[in-house]
Order: sequence, then structure tokens, then C-alpha cells
Amino acid sequence: MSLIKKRVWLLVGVAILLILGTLILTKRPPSLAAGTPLVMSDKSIPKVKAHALVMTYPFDEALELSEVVSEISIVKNVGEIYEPTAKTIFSAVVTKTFKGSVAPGDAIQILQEGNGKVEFNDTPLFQPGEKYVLILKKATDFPEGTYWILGGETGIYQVIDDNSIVKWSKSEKQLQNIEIEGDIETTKLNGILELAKTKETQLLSKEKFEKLIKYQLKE
Amino acid sequence: MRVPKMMSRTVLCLLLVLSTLPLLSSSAHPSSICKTGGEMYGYYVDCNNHQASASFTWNTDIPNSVVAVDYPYRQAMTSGAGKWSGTVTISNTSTSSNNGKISTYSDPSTSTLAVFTEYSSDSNGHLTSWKIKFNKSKMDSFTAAEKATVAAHELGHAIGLNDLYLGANSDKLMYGFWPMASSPTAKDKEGAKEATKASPI
Repeated sequence: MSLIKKRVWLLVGVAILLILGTLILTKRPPSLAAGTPLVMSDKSIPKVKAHALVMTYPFDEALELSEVVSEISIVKNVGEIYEPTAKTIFSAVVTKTFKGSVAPGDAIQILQEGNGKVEFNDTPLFQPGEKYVLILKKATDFPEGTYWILGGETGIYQVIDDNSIVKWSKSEKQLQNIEIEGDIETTKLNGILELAKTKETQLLSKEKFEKLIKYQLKE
Repeated sequence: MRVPKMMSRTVLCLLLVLSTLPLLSSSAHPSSICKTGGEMYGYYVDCNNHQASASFTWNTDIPNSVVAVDYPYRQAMTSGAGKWSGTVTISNTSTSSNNGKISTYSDPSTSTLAVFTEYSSDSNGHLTSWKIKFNKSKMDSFTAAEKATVAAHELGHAIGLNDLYLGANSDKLMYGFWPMASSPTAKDKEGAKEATKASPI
């Protein structure tokens, strides 16, 4: 077989491989092709999406309306609620308190919108070990020590490290002067990076944020 | 000698043609049919979940009962639907098999006012079923006008519009946080037209 013929057969072989590869890669999963609102989680469990309209408050008003403002550390997911709307119950430990009748070391429970089956406004669920400063209200029809987040996702501030904290959603004018120069990508946290694609996240100075809370609560 | 050269050229042409295939088959609608828009456009169409035409209906979620959902919320739906009039026609139906349902619930332990959920669509991205749930615990204290605004926002999802989250869009009805515009703006209507325009035959 001549060298030219060998090259032609090689080219034909590559073409067949490319055709097969193209067909395999462009074949979409049936659920997505059907245009359903299903998304696949890390564990490949289909999740339904929920678009919720959330009541929000300016930062100072949220602090005033809250019953507890604390820094907490998520311990674990202790249960999921499906009706009337999707929620997850997390156990948490208080690490710092700015307002309310909880103290560092106290065990509390936090209600977060969404659960393993329902993705709520495209926001991720809390994970064990993560730290947050949350603006909270006491939950009714739940055991003592259970709280919900005022303003939903807009009342969530994730502690990144000793110096920085990220407001998950809805940029707040009152916090613009304590924003840290830099890119949100420096957090290197997947959940935050995903949020930053669709929501107006704010990277803030943790020290200045805590000072601002204390200042606002004194007024 | 000429035959192998022709063959190799033919194969190369074939490869070039095949390389365009993924672009043609990667979404429910080609981009020429459904324009997604986005935050920068002032509207954001869900091309995989939108109405098939500019006219659709809703019903209450409880079979055989037209009074299961409190009057103020049914009234809000009617008023909210009216805000889209001229762009999309949305009407109540007594047909219990209708796949667009509304209901109410009571949850004081949340900031959620209402939710658009449990939706599914066919292979063309046309919504086949959906639910709107109003949270009475949060909305009972709202005025009739405020309830109608919430209903109009939720019906925007039923039309096929996603929430907008940038502060620059806080003046649109489809802004995802309360408070927002009380009626569809020109951009909301533009998105609604995009979401419901008939597919070319």
C-alpha cells in the first residue's frame, strides 16, 4: 500500500471517530430535551426549580426588624420540608452574637429555603462547616431555638475568611463603602462563584461589616 | 494519484460540514426563534419553559371548587392578568383539567410572598403545567393593588420570563425582589412578546 493510500485511510478513520464523537456529545439527556425545569445535582438527583418572589429590606431596617443577628457555623442538615414550600432545617452553633438572646456556643436551628429536591431561586444549600452572619427571626410552629432568615437569600452573609464576607444577593447601597476591592473569584468557593453569575453579590470587609452592624444596632 | 487527493478533499469537506452540527442541535429552539435576552436586555426569556402562544388560562388548584382560593387572590389574578392585556391574554377557566393552577398557603416563617413552581414543558419548550402559590401569611396584609402586582409578576413566569436580579432592573415587573414595578414595563412586554411569539412554520 502506497504512502498516499495509507494517509487517506488514516484520514477516513479520523473522520469516522469525529462523526461518532460528535453524535455522542450532542445527544442531550431526555429531560433537558423535553425542556423540563429539572436540573441535576452533584448526586444526579433531579431537582425541580422554584421561582420565589422575596420580600426584602434595606440593611438598617432588616437589623431593626430582626430578633437575632449572629455569626453561626453550620453543623449539619437535620431535615427537609416539602409542603407548603421547600425548606431545609440545619443545626448550627452560634460563634458570635450582635443582637438577640443567643450566646456563643448555643445550638440553634436555621430554616433555609429549598431542599434536596427543590432548587429555590438558584441558591445553593448551606454545607457543614460553613460560617455565616445571618439576620434572623424566630420561627413559629417550630421548636424553640429555630429561626428563619429575614429577606431570604438577601439576608445571608457568608464568611470567607478572617478578613472578608460575601453578601449572597441583592447589592446593598448601605454596604458599598465597606466593599473590598477585588474580584469575587478570589473566594474560590463554588457556591459563591455560581451565585455571582446571576445575583448581585458583594465582597465586604468582615471587620468593617461587624463594626457597621454594632453601630446600626446602637442607633 | 488524483483519486486519493479527491477522496481526502471530500473527507475534509465532510468534516467541516459535520463540525457545524452541534450548533444546530444544542437548544430546544434555534436562537433565531427564541431570543433569551438577559439582564442587560431588561428581560430574560426561559426558552425551555414558556407559553406556546400569547393566550393561556389558569384555574384554582382544588378540584370541583371555585371558592377554594380566597376571593382576594382570585381577584388579584384577574387584575394581574389584566396588566398583561394587549401583550398576552390570560383568562380564568372553569375547566378543572386546566394545567395552570393557583393556590394559597400559610407560612409565617419566611420572606417568600409567592412562588412559581412545579412546572414542566414539552419538547418544544412550551409549558404544559405550572403552579402559582400565594403565601397568605405574608400577603393578607397587602392592599388589593399590591396583591395584583404579585400576581402579575408570577404570571410573568407563566408567560416564560425569568426573574431579573441586577439593581439596574429593579424598575421592571420581573425584578425578583419585592418591591418592584407594579405593572409590566416596555421591556417586560418585549420579553413577553419574545416568549410567546409563534414559531415559524
